[in-house]
Amino acid sequence: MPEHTTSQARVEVAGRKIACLIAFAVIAGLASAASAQEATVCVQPNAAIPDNGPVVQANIDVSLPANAVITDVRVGLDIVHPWIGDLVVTLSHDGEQATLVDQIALVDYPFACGGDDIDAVFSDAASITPRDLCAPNIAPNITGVVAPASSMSVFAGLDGAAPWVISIVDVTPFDTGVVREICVTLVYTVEDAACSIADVTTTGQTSGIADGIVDLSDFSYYLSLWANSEPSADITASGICVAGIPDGGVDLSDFSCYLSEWSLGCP
Amino acid sequence: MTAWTRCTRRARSGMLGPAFVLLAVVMPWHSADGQVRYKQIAAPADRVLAGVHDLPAPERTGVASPSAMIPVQFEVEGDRLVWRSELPIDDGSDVRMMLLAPGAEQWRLSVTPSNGVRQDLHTKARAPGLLVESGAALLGDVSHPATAYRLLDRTAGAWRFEVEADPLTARTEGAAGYLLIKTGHPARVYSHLTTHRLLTGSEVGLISGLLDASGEPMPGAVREGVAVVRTPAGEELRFRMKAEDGAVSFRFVPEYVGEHTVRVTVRGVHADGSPFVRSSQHVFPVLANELELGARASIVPDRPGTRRVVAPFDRADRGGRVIASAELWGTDDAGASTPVCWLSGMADVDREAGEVSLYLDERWLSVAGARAPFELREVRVQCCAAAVPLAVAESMPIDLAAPMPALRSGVTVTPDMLTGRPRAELSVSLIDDAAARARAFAGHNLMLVHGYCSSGVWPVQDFSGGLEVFLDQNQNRSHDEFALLMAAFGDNSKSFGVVAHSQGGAAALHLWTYYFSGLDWAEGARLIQSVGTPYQGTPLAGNLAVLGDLFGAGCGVNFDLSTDGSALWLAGIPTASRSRVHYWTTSFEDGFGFDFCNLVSDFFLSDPDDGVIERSRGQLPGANNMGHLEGWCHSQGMRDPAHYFDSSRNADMNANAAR
Repeated sequence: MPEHTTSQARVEVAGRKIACLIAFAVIAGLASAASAQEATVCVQPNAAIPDNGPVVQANIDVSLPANAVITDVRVGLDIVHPWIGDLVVTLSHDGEQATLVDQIALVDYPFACGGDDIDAVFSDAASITPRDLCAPNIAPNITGVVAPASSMSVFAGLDGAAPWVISIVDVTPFDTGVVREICVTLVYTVEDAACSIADVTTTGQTSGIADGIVDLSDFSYYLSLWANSEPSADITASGICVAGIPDGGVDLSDFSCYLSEWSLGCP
Repeated sequence: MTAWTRCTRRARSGMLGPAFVLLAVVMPWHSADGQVRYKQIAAPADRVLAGVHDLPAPERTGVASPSAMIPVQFEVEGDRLVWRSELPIDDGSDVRMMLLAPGAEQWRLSVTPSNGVRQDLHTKARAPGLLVESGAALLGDVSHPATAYRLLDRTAGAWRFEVEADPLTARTEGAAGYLLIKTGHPARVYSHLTTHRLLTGSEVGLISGLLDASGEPMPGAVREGVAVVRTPAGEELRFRMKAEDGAVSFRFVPEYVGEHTVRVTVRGVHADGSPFVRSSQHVFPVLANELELGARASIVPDRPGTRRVVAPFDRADRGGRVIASAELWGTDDAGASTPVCWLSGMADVDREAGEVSLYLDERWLSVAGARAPFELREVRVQCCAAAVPLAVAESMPIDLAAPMPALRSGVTVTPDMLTGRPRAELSVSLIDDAAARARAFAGHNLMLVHGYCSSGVWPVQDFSGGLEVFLDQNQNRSHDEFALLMAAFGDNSKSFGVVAHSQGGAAALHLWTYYFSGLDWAEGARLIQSVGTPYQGTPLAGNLAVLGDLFGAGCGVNFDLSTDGSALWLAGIPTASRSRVHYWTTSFEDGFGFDFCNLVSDFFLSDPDDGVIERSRGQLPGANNMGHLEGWCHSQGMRDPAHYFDSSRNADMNANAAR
């Protein structure tokens, strides 16, 4: 595997769901307000990939700190298979799914890429696709950092609480393989809870996009949300100021709680 | 990936019978976008320096014929038809004769050797020293009854021949048939085209000389030559050949597009003064003169790591698929010209832009250590159906649209540099093979392929595992058409190796060279195994073309199987492709009496031969010669068993086949 940290430690996950708008605001805010960190967990299933199905799954827990928000995901795959075009590999997490491998080069060959083995890292940042690398007589056929079949940006903004599920299935008769190693690397940021709650818009704007700065614009924008009973203004349970736990209604406790968070600002 | 885990590589699975049957039911036939992708071929600089890809000189691709094919033209004499001729026989110790014509078995042949004793060969009373062999004359896909006569221990000199026929059994206009004569003397006529630029309005001709037993020219031996050209329009042009450097020649400017046949008859004299006659038969296509290359080429940016090499046309009156190729030369550190690589591939003429493109992997520049200025040399655009050059240019300076990348050290040639990678825009539609679709089969298979004008020849029981039996019965295909049919047929296999007979071997090599297919993914010792493949053509192609006037077109004329056509085709096949071919040749059992595989082809071919190809022309330089076996002929119905029935070799091929 060309890139990974091999810590097997399991960090307890204490993530909390937050409202969608706030979450996106937090993501954007964290990007500028906090430095990115990475956590990688590798597993070695050494599991057989049966011919023409069924699906082989590996669940991977990557524990992140509280308030960690995922900004990027990379997946390393080490698969031995004499016909990698048979494979469909997906990554699922918290209700979202991305496809890493989908019958490589099927557009070029009737039975997709006949190359041997994948030993590569899948990253949205890559410009090279597995199809670009598919060629006879080169093993492993897919190496380096390559782009997934569909973007893994669907995981951005989520926390790391749920397991990461890698599903590997051989979809064409003939040929079997082994999945030897899977590494999931999460790039994330952790932000102070107060900051993440209070930072709801960009300075001077009412865009709803956090900018890492808690200022009057944020207060003004929240006030407009609260005044209009927007769902995103629902940040606490009635009567209890625990920011980030909505109760389905927008009332004075929400405003009071926001004011409390806002007054703390960003560290 | 650790060392120990590397060792866990799985072998491919699923070549067993039960899987074969199951998948015939469940596996849907599919093709990605119905296209076959072109390879972007390249060969290293040393291949350029070795001249491997140079167009063959026409004088090296001619036909050597040890026999004479004399037209029989009847005249009416009372209630019968008679043809008489006197011919010089240079060695009477062993003279073979045969009448070749539809219905010739009813004709009566008489011979009066120089001793004056007439012998009626057709009678059942056998003269001393007369051997008669009756059998089938295989002419392409058609078998005709034929009888060969062999007179032994006669004297050389002027022999008189007489053929008599009943009026209803032969025509009196033009040649009703041919008298084939082959004496015991090994002298041969060698005839070759004057050019391979076989285009309308472009002069073409033939030069004929005489060779002795060792294949050396016979100085001063040629006395006269006559050439008869039959054009696609049915015209018969007769030329008295002119003396030229110890040979005779003729030239003409073809007007018509299509196949031209030529029959050359040369009379000569041995050093001892004894006269003799030989003839050779040829076929060549003439294509429309529609392309003319421009003066300068260019290299423009393409995908990352790749450049597009553009050769412009001054005149492009046609589009369509062609084979384009060129040597790329650059400049080394000392400022001297140095070859970078040879580029080739199927290409589509962009008629609107007036250009054709090749693709350069930039790594070749680092491998060769070459910088600007660059130029193309030996640029050629060839027809893909018959590799006739449509346009050529000796050199084209290159304009760079953008600077070339910096050279890197330590770059070595990788397999993908030799073939490129599939590109959607470089492709041709897959032939819709309904039969293949219906089979709906996948897996790693062995494809058993027949040859020109043939059908399923391989005994399937000699092979095991997943088998694909290619069938394109009794057809005449260019190597390219044949290869694309194989691609369509093989589209049912994830990967396949090939065991091929005759032209099937050349078609498989063509497929492997020019197109991405299941061949590229096959694993195993031997990718393409062939038996009796005329990699360097067969003189029979020309003979059959001439005889086609009498016997009908049969499967038709195939220029790729001629000596000229195969040489033009072979010049485009890189050493790297050839190295994946394992081939065998065979010939008749050399014994007493009639030693041949085929009654007719024995007159045209130089021994040893298998009835269709000569051993020498079955060789594929750069490939793996697996040996030559006597006692096996090319096809069923020949003197010895057909070589595709050699179960011992079949078992060997089966065991070692890539799949």
